Amino acid sequence: MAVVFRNTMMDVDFPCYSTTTTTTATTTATTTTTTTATSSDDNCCDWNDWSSVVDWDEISCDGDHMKDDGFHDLLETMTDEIVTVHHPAWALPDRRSSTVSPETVMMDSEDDGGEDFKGLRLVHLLMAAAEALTGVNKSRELARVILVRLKELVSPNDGSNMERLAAYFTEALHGLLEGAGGAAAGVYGKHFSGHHGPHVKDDHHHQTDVLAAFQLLQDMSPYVKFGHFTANQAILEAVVHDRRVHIVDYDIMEGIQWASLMQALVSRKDGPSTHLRITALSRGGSARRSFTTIQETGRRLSAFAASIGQPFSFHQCRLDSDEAFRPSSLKLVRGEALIINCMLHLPHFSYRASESIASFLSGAKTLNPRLITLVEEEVGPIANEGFVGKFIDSLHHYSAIYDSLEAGFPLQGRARVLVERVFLGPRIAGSIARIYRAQGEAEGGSWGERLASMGFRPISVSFANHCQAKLLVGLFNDGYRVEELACNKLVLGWKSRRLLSASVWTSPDNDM
Amino acid sequence: MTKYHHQQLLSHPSSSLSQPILDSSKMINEEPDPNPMSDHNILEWIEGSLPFLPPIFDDPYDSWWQLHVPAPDQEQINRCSTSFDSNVSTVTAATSATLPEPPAIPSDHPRPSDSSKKRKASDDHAPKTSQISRKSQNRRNNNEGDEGETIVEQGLVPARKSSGSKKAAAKSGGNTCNNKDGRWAEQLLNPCAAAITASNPSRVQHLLYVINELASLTGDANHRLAAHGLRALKHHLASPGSPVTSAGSTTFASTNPKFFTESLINFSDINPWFRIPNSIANSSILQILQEQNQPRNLHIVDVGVSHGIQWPTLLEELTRRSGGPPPLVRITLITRTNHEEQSRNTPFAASPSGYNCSSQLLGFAKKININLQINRLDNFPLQNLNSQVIKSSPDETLIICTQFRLHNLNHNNPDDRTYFLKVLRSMEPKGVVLTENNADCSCHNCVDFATGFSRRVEYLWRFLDSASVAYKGRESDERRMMEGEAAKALTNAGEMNERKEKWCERMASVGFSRQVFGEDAVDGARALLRKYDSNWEIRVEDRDGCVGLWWKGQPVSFCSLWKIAPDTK
Repeated sequence: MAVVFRNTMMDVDFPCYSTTTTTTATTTATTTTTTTATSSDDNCCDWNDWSSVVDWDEISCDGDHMKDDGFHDLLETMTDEIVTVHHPAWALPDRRSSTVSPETVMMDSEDDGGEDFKGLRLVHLLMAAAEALTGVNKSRELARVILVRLKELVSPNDGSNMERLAAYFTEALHGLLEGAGGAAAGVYGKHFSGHHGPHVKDDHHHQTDVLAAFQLLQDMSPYVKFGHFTANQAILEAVVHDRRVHIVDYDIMEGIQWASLMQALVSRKDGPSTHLRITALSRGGSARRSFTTIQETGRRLSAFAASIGQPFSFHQCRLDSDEAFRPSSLKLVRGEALIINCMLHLPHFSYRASESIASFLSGAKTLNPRLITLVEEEVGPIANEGFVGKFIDSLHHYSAIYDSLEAGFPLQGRARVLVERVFLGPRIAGSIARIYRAQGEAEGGSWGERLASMGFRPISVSFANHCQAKLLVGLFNDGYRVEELACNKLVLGWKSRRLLSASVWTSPDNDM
Repeated sequence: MTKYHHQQLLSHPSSSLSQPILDSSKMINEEPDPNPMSDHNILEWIEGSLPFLPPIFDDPYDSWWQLHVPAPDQEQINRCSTSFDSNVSTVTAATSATLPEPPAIPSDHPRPSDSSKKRKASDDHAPKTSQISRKSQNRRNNNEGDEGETIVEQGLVPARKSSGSKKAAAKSGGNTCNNKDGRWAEQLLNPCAAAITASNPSRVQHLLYVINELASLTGDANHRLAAHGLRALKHHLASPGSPVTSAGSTTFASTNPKFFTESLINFSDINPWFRIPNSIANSSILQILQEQNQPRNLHIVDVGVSHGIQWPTLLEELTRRSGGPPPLVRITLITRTNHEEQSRNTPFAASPSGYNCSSQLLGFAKKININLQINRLDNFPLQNLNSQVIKSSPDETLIICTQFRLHNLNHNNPDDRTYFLKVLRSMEPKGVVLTENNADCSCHNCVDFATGFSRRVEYLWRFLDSASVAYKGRESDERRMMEGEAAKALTNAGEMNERKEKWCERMASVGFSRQVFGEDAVDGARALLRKYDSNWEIRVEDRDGCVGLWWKGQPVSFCSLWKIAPDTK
C-alpha cells in the first residue's frame, strides 16, 4: 500500500514539475506521508527506487528545453516548494507571502516526503559543486561554499541513503578541492586511499571492521558472488576434459572465489581428479604486505584443497614495481589449460591502475590462454563527457548500490553504514579523484571493449551459467536483475542501473 | 520467500553440461561439517589471517572528521603554498572564522600599508583589527594634517591635507585585484539569469535549488546577495511586472521615521556611499556662493536621496563663511513618496510615511541664526518641474542638487532624461550638482534580462560588500533595512544607469558646461574618506574633472558640477 503510494508520488511529483499535476501530486503526498509513517517499521520498500526521486536524464542533459509556455508557472511551483518545504533556519522571508497554499503548508515539515526532497537538494548541490570545481566558470570559492553547506546537511553515518551517499561524495569533492585526493590517487602501486593521511589507525581494529563488512557485503548483495560464480562456471565449462588447470589470478584478494571452484572440481563425476594450480599476482615495490597476504591466502587455499581432496598447488608471481605484468615471470607447464582470471573493482576490491590492468591483459595475450574471465564495473551512457557528467554517473552508480543494499537489509542500518564506510566510501573518493584527473584524457572504453580490440574472441555464456546467475540474483531482493548484454557478457544491475558485468573471452587463435 | 527456500530450489541440478556452482554453495551451507569454510562465515575462512588483510583497509577512514577540525594555521599556509592554486586558502576560511590573513592574496602585490592589508583581510570577520587599523590611520592623519574649514563638517577627522592623491594612487595598486573568485553568489545568480534568458528550465531549476541552499539574509555579503538575488529571480519568473514583495526585508518605506533617520545618520558615519557625494555637493554649493558678487538669497533644489540629513552641515558651514550666511536660504525638497509606482521604486529614494525633516531643519537653522525656508514638493513628477513650481526668483542663487534619482528617468523612447535636463537648464540655475551611479544601464530596452540582471547584481554586490565591512559583519535591523533598500535595484524597472561619460554628454547637449570642483571640495572629501574603510577611494578624472567614488577598485558613483554654458545663455 505504502509502496504504491510512494511511487506514485515520486513519479508525479519530482521528475517533472508539471503544473497540471501539481495538485494531485501534493494531495497524494499527504496521504503518503501518513501511510509511510505507520509502516516505517517494515519499510523494506521505502526507498524502492531512488532513481525515481531524481530524474537522471533530466539532470544529466542540460539542453533539455521545455516548451516556453508554462515556464514561469513551472518554476514558480518549484521554488515555492523549495522555499516552503525545508529550511526552517534558512527560510527566506517571503515564504509566508500571500500565495501560500494549503498544499505547501502541508509539505512544510521534515517528514518522509521531505527526505526525498532533501535527496534532490543534495544532488543539485553536489552537481553544482562538481561544476564549480571544473566547469567553464570554475570557482573554488563557490565549490567551497557549496561543500560547507553540504556538510551541514549530511553525515556518512546518519540519515537516508542519499544523505550518507552525499556525505561521501562531498568528502570526495572536498579532497579534490584541497588537491589531496588527486595526488594520492595518482600514485601507481598505492591504493587510492593511500598511506598519505596524517592519521594511521591501528590495523587490527580496522581489520575487524573489514572482515565484518566483507561478511555483510556477501550476505547483503550478490555483487561478489555474481562475478565469482559466473567466472567459475565459465572456467568449469572450459576445462571439462582437462586434467590440469592453471589459473592466473590478477587480484586474488582473500581467495574466496576458488573455494567454490575447488568444490565443483572435486564433485566432477567423470574420471580422475583434476589438478588445480593457481598463480596469484602480487604487487611488487613497497607492498611487502601484499606478498605475505597472498602467501596467507595460498596457505588457506591449500589447506582447504587438502580438506576436500582437491589436488592443488599455489604460486605467486610478482608484478613489477609499477604493477606491470611480465609474462616471462610466470611458470607455465605444458599440458595445462591456462585460465586468466581478472576480477576488477568488485565493491570490496582495491582499485587497480588501468596501466597495470592493460599490461596484464596484453601480457596474457602472449600466453595464448584457453579462457579469460573478466568482471568489471559498468558505467552508464554518459551524454556529457565532462567531469560533471561522469560525476553524476558515478553518483547514480553508487546510489543504486546503496539502494540495493538497503532494500535487501532494511533493518540493518548499522551494518550498511559499516559496509559503506569500509568499502564504498573509499571507493567513491578514489573514483571521483580518478575522474577528476582523467579530464581531457582519452577514454579507453571498458575492458571488455579493449579485449575485443586486442583480438580476443568472445565465448558465449552458457545457458546454465545464465540460469545460475539469475538464480543467484533471485536469492536477493527483487530489484536485482541479470541481463545478457552480449553473447559473452552478463550484466548485474539494480533496477534500471547496470552495475557489474562478467564477460568470457578466449585467445584469438584458440579453436575453442 | 526466504533464502533458504531458494537454496532448496537450487539444489536440483539445473544443467547436465556441468554442475553449477550454486550446487556447491548449497553444499557448503547444508553440510558445514566437512568443510572448514561456510558460505555464511567468511570470518572463519579468513580468521587465521587477520594481520594480512589487503593494505587498502589500513588507511583510516576518518578524513571526514578531519574536515571538521580546523588545521593549525601553519599547516594551512603550507598547504596553500604547495597546492596548485593559491586561491585554495579560501578553502580554509570556512572552517574557522578567526583565520589568519588569507595568503591567497599574492604577496607580490603592492600594498599601501600594513593596516589596509589587515583591513582587507578582516572584511566580515575581524572587526577588531579593522578598528585598530583605522585608529592608527587617523593618528597618522593627525600628524600630517592641519585644521581647516572642512573639519567642521567631518567632525571626526581633523585632517584636510591633500595627501589623498598619493594615498589613492598607492591604494589602487592593491585594490584593483578585485578577486572575482570570492564573489561566489554572482557565479550562481548570473548563470541562472542567463539560463532564464536562454529558456533553459532545467538549468534554471538546478541553479535555483543551489542558490536556495546558500541564500540567507544574514551572514556574509555573498549569502545576502544570494538571498536578494533569489527573490529577484523568483519575482521575475513568477510574473514579470507584478508588484515586488519585499516581505521580510525592511525598506525605507516600511519603517518608522525615527529609526529611519537614525539609521541614515549612522550609515553615513560608517559608509561613504552617500556621505562623500553629500560632502562634495555641499562644498560645491559653497564654492558657487563664493563666486557670486553680492550676498544674495540661496535656493537649493534637492532632487536627492539624503532625506534632508545632508543640509545641517551645509547650514553650519554657511554661518562660518566670511560675510556670514545668505539673507535667506531656501531648500526645495523634491521627495518621492510611497505612492509612487512600485515597480519603479528607486533605491534610497522613498521615505517612511510620516517622515518630514523640515521641522528639524528649521529648528536647527533657527538655533544657528539662519533664515531658512523649506518647500516640499511631494509626489511631484520630475518632468513637470519649472521655475514657477519651485518659485524661483531672478535675484537668488539657484543651485540644483541631484543625487541618485535621475537614473530612474527613461533615457530612450521617450527620452525623459534629456527632457528633464532641459527643464533644469530652463530654470537657469547658477550651478547643478549631478551625482549618479557610475554603471551601465540594465533596463530591458538596452540589454537582455541576463545582462541587465548581472549589472544590477554587480551594483548590489558593491553595496552589500561595503556594508558588510561598514557594519563589521554584525547583524542589525538597520543593516537589514539599508540592504533591503539597496536590493530594490534588482527588481526596480527604473534602473537605467548610464556611465559617467554618457551623463556628461547629455548635460553638455542641453547647454551645460562642466566645472572643475574646487580644491576644497576634493580635499575635503578625501580627508573625510579617511575615516572609512581603506577599500574606498576617490578618483578625480583629469579628463572631465568628475570625482569618482570607488570601492575595491571598481567605480560606484561620480559627482559632477555644471553651469550654464556661456554661449547658450
